Amino acid sequence: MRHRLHDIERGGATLMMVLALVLLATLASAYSSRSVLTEQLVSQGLDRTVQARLAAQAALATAEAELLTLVSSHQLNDAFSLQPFPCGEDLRGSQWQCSLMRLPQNPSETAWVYSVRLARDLIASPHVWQLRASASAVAGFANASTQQSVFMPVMAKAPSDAPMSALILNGCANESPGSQWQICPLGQSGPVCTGAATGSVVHTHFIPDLDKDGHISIAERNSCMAFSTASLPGGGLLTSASIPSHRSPCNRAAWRSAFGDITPEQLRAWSEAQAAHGLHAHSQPQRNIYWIDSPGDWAQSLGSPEEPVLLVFSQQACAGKCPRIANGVHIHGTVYVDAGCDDEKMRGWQAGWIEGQLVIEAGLPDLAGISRIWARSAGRKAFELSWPRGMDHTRAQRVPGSRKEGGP
Amino acid sequence: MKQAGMAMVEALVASALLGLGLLSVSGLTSHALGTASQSRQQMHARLLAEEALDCMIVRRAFCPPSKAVLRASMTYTVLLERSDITPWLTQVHAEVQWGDVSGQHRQKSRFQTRVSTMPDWVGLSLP
Repeated sequence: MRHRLHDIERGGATLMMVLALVLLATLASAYSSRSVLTEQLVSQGLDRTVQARLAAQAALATAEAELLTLVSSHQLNDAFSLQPFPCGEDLRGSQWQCSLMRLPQNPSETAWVYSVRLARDLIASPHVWQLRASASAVAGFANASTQQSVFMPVMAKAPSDAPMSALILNGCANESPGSQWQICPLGQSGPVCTGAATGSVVHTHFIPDLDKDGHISIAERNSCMAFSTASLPGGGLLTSASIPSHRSPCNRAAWRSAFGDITPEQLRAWSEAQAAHGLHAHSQPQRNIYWIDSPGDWAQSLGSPEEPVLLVFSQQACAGKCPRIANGVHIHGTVYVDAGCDDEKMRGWQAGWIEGQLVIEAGLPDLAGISRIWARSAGRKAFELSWPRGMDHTRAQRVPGSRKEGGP
Repeated sequence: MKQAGMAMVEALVASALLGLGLLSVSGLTSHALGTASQSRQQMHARLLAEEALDCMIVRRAFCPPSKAVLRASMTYTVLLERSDITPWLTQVHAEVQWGDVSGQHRQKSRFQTRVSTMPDWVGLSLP
């Protein structure tokens, strides 16, 4: 009886042992299977991440191609006006302009939803556009984003060798009795309009060759730029080309010397973009480009030494006589008046108080009233954009090193 | 005699149970190993496809349309196809094939993206 009980216990123990062994092996196997399953899930997740990254790259490339299409069809100025979009938290400040891009639908690609946002700084760098592309799976399992900055040919480079004279003309100037003009060149140091001038105070691109001898004499130059000593209290040279030139039809020499390859259309578009975006004289930052078509006299002070402005009185504004700048109005920056080489449009003109540079596409006959033009080296800062050396400003190009994966 | 017979039956039952258990465990392990191997192969395929597409994205001078690569004793064939959508936009596919060359158990992985012709400025400084 005792033997039999002992055998039953031994058999039960064996069974328990076997079951325990099988259970242990099953547990070990299940654990390793779970690890493998996790690894497989991670691998599938990585696959989706890669697909999302490539989809975001596809969206970015599609947007770049769209921009190239706009460049070739000369419709770049429309890019930001089609679908304005609020900028993100990282692009704070009213100078940032953002827009959603419309991308062409790809019927064969239905698994992903693409979205591309454009952004640019309307004050400092309207020619550098940020493209922020993102792709989300329709099924919702993955999304990715990527961004790239590109140079866009919306503005040309301002010339680095532009004359720094206080006044640039494309014709001759003389004063009417009683006028009180004060034109001062850049000085080495000290108060304005005193001390040693560092260069030209007035430069003109056109002097009539009165004696027809083929060159411009000192007498012809002095006769063309008939300023009194009281008008030039800081001294400085009166300069011009030594060889006679023609300005009929209008050669726009003053524009070219101040703005180089920048076109009127580019400045006008920049000004309109700033105005349409809500930038103005009291916004923060201030609007700094003004294209003026109105023939009315200008009565608003603009700019500051730190934030100079550019005022362009257009051909349309000068259809009759060119608008004058009212007495006491203070402009920090550059003022260009497009008189189309017609001196009559500038007769009796007044400049208010300009600290920077005054560029006139004509002469200045019969200067009248009280005006001050003080040369300032920072006067051109409003439209002198930062361009890398050797950059071709006529083409769209990627900014090297600006590519980023993921969010901003 | 009867006791010896009982011990024999117990041993047989225990062996059968153990055998069944180990069989299923080995099946599970084998499946896990297969899955792990497949994951590893897919990872290699993904990396090779990414490498091929990145070649197009970063515009290297030459991106081979096809190449064979040996990774962990397995030969992967990478095929790169491109088709122009517009003069400024190209669709690029990278397909990676591996496994049995007879084609019955041939596996493949396919990725795609797009590249534009917008040029890179190669200069000295950033604006």
